[in-house]
Amino acid sequence: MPNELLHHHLFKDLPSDVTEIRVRKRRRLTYLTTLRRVVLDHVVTDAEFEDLLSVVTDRSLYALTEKLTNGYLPLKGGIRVGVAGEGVRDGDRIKTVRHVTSLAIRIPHQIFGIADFLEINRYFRQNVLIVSPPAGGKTTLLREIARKLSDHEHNVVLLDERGEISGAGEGGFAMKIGENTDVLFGFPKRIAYENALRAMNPDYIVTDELSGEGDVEGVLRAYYGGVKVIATLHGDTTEVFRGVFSPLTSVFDRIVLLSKKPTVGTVKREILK
Amino acid sequence: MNLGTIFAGICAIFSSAFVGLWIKKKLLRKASFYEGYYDYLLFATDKIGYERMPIGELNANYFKRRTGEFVAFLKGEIISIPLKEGELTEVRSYLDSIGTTDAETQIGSLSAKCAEMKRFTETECVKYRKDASLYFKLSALIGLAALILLA
Repeated sequence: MPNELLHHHLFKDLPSDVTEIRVRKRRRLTYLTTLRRVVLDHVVTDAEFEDLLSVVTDRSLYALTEKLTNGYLPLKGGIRVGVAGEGVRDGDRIKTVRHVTSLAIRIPHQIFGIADFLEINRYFRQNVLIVSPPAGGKTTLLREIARKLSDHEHNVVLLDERGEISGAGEGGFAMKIGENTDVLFGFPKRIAYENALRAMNPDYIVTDELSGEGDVEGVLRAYYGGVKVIATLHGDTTEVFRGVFSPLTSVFDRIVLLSKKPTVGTVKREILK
Repeated sequence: MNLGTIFAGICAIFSSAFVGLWIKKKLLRKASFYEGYYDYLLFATDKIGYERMPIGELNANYFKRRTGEFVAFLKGEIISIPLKEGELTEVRSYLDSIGTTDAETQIGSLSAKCAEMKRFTETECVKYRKDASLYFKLSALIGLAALILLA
């Protein structure tokens, strides 16, 4: 397990292939693997929850105010902890979160070979969009695509705002992302697209979770600049180019729709233009 | 007055002086501990209030500049702590609570605790120091009285 958090006594009996742990105050501990969802008998006590929160926040909840307003805390090794609690408002914006009651711990993992169906080689030149519902295996596939592209001598720039794809933190990467991959970690996406295109001379830009106009604009800039894009998007259909995403209709050469069934990361449908 | 009585009297003086010294040391350590605790709370209030410094970094910075009873306690380096069980539990539980709330609540709590500890050090710690020298003198006097009585 890639982080000391996972050595917490609450998690001592969890299997090594766990992908997500749900810890809710006074409710039963739940975890997911790539194959199943398991609800344990153990009810998380207030003391256990506070202790875990203290580990997650490095005993410094007050220092994480800004990150908490984003709804998650990025930890070492690419682990992301979603936080739910009471939002403290300051006018229109959320100032911080207090009285935390739920933690969703997402544990990244690497599965080699899952992108083989794309037949990536040094001549591969495609814009690929991966679509799946939350926790459907998008990021794991994206990571593997980035690694394969990189190993086939493409210059890859990973826009990894939260460090979730590369497992970035303290100068290193917990995940294997390839020899020719450069990571823009911690940069807000709108700045990351700009920096990548202007300074890093990429063949591919790889980015997770397109979410708004800023992303659409960034992808279009890369596309018209001759840079290929591999991106992911939340959804459960290939009809995703609606609303804010409609300008991307002609961008992607390939759309891969993932499903959680029978296992997380199953390719449900693939459209090649 | 025979030699035995003189020896017993001297023993009584030394024993009571030793007890007095022990009490004095304990009270001085206790005062020093609480003063260190107050100093730490002031430091934490400043660093958390202005810099939102995480607790690990805050402690590392504090250890660089300070020594003494409380620092040794924070580092887990002393076994015998000069506080009663209840007093120690109170200190421990407050220290454990630092970092478990949002910034605003945390700073409010630290400021209130600082004010409380300021009052405490100004009254109780001064009293501990006075009592320390008083107990030593009293113990020595008791020893002397024992010698006179034996004589």
